Amino acid sequence: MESSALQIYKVIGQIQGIISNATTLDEALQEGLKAIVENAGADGGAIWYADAAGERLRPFFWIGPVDLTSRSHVLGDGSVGRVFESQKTERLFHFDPTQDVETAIDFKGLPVGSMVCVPFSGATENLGVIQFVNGQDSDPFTDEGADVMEIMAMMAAMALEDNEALAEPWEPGETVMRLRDITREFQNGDIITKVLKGVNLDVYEGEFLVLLGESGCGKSTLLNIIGGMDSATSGTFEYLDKDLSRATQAELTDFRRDNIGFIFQSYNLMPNLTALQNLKLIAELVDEPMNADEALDVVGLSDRKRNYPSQMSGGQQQRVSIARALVKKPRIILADEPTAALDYATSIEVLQVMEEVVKGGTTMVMVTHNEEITRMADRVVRMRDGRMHEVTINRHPAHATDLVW
Amino acid sequence: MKPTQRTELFANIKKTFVSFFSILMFVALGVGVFLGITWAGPALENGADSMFREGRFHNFQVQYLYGLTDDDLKELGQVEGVTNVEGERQSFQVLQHDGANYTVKVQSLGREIDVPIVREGDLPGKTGEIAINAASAKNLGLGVGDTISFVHDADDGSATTTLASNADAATDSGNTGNTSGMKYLKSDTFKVTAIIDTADYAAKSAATYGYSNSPSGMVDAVAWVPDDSFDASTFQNGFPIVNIACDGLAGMGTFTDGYKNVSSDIESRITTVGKKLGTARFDSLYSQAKAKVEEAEKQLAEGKQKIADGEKQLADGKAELETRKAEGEQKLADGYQQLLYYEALRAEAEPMLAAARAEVEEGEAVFAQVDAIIGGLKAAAANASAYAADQHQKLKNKEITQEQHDANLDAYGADVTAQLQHYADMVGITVPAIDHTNIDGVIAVANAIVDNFESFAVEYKGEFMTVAQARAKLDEGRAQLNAAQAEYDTRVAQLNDGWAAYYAGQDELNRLVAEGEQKIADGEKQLADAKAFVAENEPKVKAGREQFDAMQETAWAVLPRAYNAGVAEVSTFGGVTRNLSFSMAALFIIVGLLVSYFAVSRLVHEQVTQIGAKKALGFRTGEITKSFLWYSGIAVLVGAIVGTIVGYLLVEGIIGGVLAGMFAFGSYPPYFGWVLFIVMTALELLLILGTTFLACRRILKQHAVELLRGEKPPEGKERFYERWGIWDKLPLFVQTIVNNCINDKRRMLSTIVGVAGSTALIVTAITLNNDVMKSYDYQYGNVYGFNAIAYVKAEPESAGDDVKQALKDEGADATRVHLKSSLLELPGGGSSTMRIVVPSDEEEFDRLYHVNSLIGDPLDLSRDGVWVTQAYADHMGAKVGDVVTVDSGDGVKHELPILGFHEFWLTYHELVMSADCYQREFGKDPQMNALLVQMNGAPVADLRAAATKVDGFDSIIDDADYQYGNFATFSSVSSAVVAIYLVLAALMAVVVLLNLNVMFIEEKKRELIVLMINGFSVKDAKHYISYDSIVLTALGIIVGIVLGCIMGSVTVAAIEPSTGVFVKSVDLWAVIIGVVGSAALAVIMSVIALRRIPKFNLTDINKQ
Repeated sequence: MESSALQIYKVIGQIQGIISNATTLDEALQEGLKAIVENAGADGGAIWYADAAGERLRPFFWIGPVDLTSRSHVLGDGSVGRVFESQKTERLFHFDPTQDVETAIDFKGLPVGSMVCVPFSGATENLGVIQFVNGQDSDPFTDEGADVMEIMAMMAAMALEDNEALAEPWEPGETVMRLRDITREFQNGDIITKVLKGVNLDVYEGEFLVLLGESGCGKSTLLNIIGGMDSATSGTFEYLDKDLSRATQAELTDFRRDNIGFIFQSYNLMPNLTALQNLKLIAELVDEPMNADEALDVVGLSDRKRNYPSQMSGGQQQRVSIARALVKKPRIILADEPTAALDYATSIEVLQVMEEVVKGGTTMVMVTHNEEITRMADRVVRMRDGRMHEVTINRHPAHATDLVW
Repeated sequence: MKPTQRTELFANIKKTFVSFFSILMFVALGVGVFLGITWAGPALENGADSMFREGRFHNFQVQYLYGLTDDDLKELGQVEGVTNVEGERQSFQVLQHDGANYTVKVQSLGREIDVPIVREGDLPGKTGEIAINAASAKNLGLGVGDTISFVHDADDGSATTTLASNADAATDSGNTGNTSGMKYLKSDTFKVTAIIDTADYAAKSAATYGYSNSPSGMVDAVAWVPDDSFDASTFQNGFPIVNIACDGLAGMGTFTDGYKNVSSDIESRITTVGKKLGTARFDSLYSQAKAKVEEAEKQLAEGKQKIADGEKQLADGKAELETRKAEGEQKLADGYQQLLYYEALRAEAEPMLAAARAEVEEGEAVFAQVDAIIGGLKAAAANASAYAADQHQKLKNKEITQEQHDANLDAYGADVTAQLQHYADMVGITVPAIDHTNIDGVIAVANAIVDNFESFAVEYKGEFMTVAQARAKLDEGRAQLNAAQAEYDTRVAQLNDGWAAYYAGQDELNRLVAEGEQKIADGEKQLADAKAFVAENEPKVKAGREQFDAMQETAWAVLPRAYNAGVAEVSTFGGVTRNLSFSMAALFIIVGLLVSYFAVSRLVHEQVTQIGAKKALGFRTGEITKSFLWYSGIAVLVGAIVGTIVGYLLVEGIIGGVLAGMFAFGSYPPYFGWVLFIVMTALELLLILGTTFLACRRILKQHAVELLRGEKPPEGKERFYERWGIWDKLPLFVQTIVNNCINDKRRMLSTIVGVAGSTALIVTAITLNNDVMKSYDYQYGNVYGFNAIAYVKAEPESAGDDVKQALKDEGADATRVHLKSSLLELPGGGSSTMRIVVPSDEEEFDRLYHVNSLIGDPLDLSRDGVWVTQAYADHMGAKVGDVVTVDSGDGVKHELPILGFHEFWLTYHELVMSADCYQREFGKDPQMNALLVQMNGAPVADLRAAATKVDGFDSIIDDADYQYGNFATFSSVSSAVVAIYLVLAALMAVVVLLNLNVMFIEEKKRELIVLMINGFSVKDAKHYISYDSIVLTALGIIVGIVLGCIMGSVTVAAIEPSTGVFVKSVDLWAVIIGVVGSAALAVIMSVIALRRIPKFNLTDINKQ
């Protein structure tokens, strides 16, 4: 961190600008956290909210290659619990994980070297804790940095209304997938490209998870591994506590057949089959599939069931694609850029269908470039350079129809 | 083409090498198969021509029933275009070898034309030496150094009387073509000095040796002797065959049109000369024959008169003999009675003589005793006297004392006394004792007694008389006895003489009678011989007269090389290969065009974006098209070169290897023809470039902006059948297969064509092979109820029936027929070997020969006409009501109306007609010279052994076995083609199916990945692909079977010789093997292609 006062004020000014422009507390905190992490050169950070009863703290946004989604702390438990209870900042410049196991578990996958935890409050009550983390390979935080963090928390709290902070935190469902330290390397001649560099991610029952990131960040590779289409170079991948890290192709095939539905950017419908036949082709793979007609009905294409892909628009084809994913009644649907090839209106149509699918209880993991779509998600994982860069738990998912781009 | 464009072209080739290779491969296959099989014909012809040159093969052969004289030869040599003329003689001989009879055609060695090509040994140089055709020698197991003997035929050369000779002369007058029998050769035993080949027997098959006038009509072997081994006089000093060489034709290929044209001109000129010379020769021989026949008839009449005279003389002789015999016998009887009388007298005299002889002998015995006594006394006295004198001398010499002397004499005296007393007792005298005192006196006394003995009286025949008187009496009796005995002996001698005379007379009579009888028997025999001779020769003279009366002037048969059986065989196989090449090449060219179309089409579709970019960047459509044309063009050119090499080396090699074994010239170099190569390459280039243009035209017509959007996905639309109620009830995979096939017509068509092509090749190949052999089965199942043919000689007449009975005794069934090979004149010119069959017994014939009339009327032997083999209708366009022209072998043409065409599968024509029809058409009764025999499992050797015991049996052959060999030979050629077909089928399957499968899987890769992502296992994905392939393969197989059956029939028809037809059937085995083979190839190719699926990377779904 720049040690000069000028630099500190510049950061504070930047945070002040972010907060004043933010429309929600979440946005204010996320952007502020990003600014601080970016300016402080921190490896990660997390924003923890206290639940309505004020008994537990849960993360709703974090930066760093860790998945805190299922973590929570009671008052006084771990650094976060302690700070919320005491409402005093903890400056752990030389964090000793053996002395604070509870806190260390939060950042499993990121060996913590130093940590700063800052409480933030609303006008009338304590709202949560903002946690900044640096890895053991990075320089430890300094007091100046910690000061900025406290100022940011204070400014954000003062700028927001209470009711926003009191919103019900998101409750994740059962963990269906667990990825730990996932890496994936590709060899091209003598050159080895490391696409995934250690991903830790859980997927929860019924959630709408969006993987976001720039091209080449590894999100599609991650989706391939989640979908059993590819295997990690290292790390573990569990599905319902079953380790699929070293699964055979046959085991992966069974995994996909029984549990996964896919929606592709380019639809990939069988061109020689009608809409209904495309669904039936997949429905025949499982013992108790959804009725193909019903599946088409779900996506609003009952009247096009005898149409061939070439006789349908892109949106219609993608809806057939969604129906095809649904017809197996999979536990998880993976969607790779499902709207990338569609225009706005068609994209909204497709997203509406997907929204309905998620409402029906199906877990959806979507890869997209479209920031706007993240508003629909329960959780958004931003990836960067082969790692999970930040995770946002969307406490106010938008409807598809609300999206604009 | 600019350098970078060239670089891009080769990069494209490298990238799409499988497609490029497919085009190349099919061009290579099409060119290779077409050129290879087509060139197999010229290669064979060149091989034959090479032998023709080496063997100075005649350009023409003139055959004339009445022979050509030396003068004819000289005149023939003057014909324009004729360079050399050489007469040839030939004779058909019977060779007994290893227990069987073989007909050997013995020819005179060519000197400058048809010269021998020595394979082993030295050419025969003198009478008694012979050279054997190499193939014949192999068949008969003969080699250099072996000695062979030809068997005299009883019918030939054995008649020796003037009468018969004249009759024979009349029979053979001028007919130098009928040269069977030993009289034409100076020797009957020959040493094999060489194994040779000649150009006029280029084909090894005995079927090309021609036919003989043996009962079977077949020639089993060919041999050559020096011309002077023939007795020229028996050929009426003419040559039945003359070989002609023409320098103008020497440099030309026998099978070229140029040769045929020049040959045709010379042939016309020779024919013109032949008309003049033939007429002159005929006139000359006609007059000679007339004189000989008339002389024979005259001598026959004289012979008959002599027989009548002889019969009369014989009758007179018999009567005279009987008379003389009776007289002699009477005289003997009289003599016999006299002899008996004298025998009785002799019997009476004989006892009387015996009694007298006994009496004399008794007296002689008495006197013998007396003489013995007298002798004894005289001896005793002499001994005593000598002893006493000895004693006295000893005493006197004082060798002994007195006492001793006395004692000795006393002792001796006592002995003498005893001896004398013995004799004295005989006459009743007492001898005083003798001692030393009286010994001398006693001796004197004894002597005195003896001296007076004759005077002593004795009783003799009751009378007393002196010894001397008795002696005289005895002598008188003896004299009387001797006189009587002499008289008796004389009479007995006379009696014996009487008996001897009697017996001599008896013998003389017997001799004279026997002599007379012998003379009569001799006369009768001579008369019988003469009658037999007349009986034997009268028909010959009659036949000679008939033949003479039938003598007709015939023309020279001027035969260009094309008439030679070996040349015809070369032409046949050359034609077969040419015909095969067209049917084969057509398939490969069609499939090749489709493959090219799809390969280029795929290439264009894969590069649609690049093409769009090029267009956008300013490339003209023509420039882009040119790159694709270059792509195909290079494939065609390389393929054509590869194909030419394959055709030249491999295809020609395979076919040539098979054909070489069938001809005497053996292996020969392959043929290469620039013209055909260029034409074929140009044709392939034209077709493939046209196909390429069609394949890329649609895409290239599009605008750059359309192309830049990439290839449009296949358009789906509701098909008519999807509105049918049953459609929705079909399983999804069925619907998927149907739609996949319908929507991807390119793949559907190419797969079906590929599989169909492969199947069709297999079916065609097997059909070709099986139908040829099936023709054999049909012939001996549907047509021939017999499987062997026995031949009998004309004499004795009972030979046919006797052989038939002998064969029946062995369990065989047989019927007698007239079976004769002749020449059938073909409507378009030329002639063909044909066999006339005339049944003797309709019922038996129906049982052993099924005349299945396919066109026209069923067999009706009461009708006047012939039933001809179906091939004649098929190949000559003949129809019922037409006539066939038959040369019966004597140069006379007979036109026979056709009543029907019957089923027949052998490679020669056969005419069936009734005996009445034959008699009417040929003017004579058919000689039933053969028996059609159903062996019923009996070995032919057993039948031969049984029939050989019958007089008049000639030979028996296992016809089914013989024909099987011919079919097997033909089949060996088709088998080589079959092998090529099957290899090509496999190649086609590999290239087309593997390529298509790989292409299909690659095209479906994205779909497959999607399905696998959705949970399809690798197995499921393979099934998803395989269902389509199975259906398309099945469709392809069905199409292929239909195509293969059609192609099989076309191919079988293409290789049919002009004289026969082969079965054209839907061969079940071919279909089964085609289905299994193609399915197996399709499965193998599919399995190989499907191995790609497990290697799919599912993450490739992310790639656009």
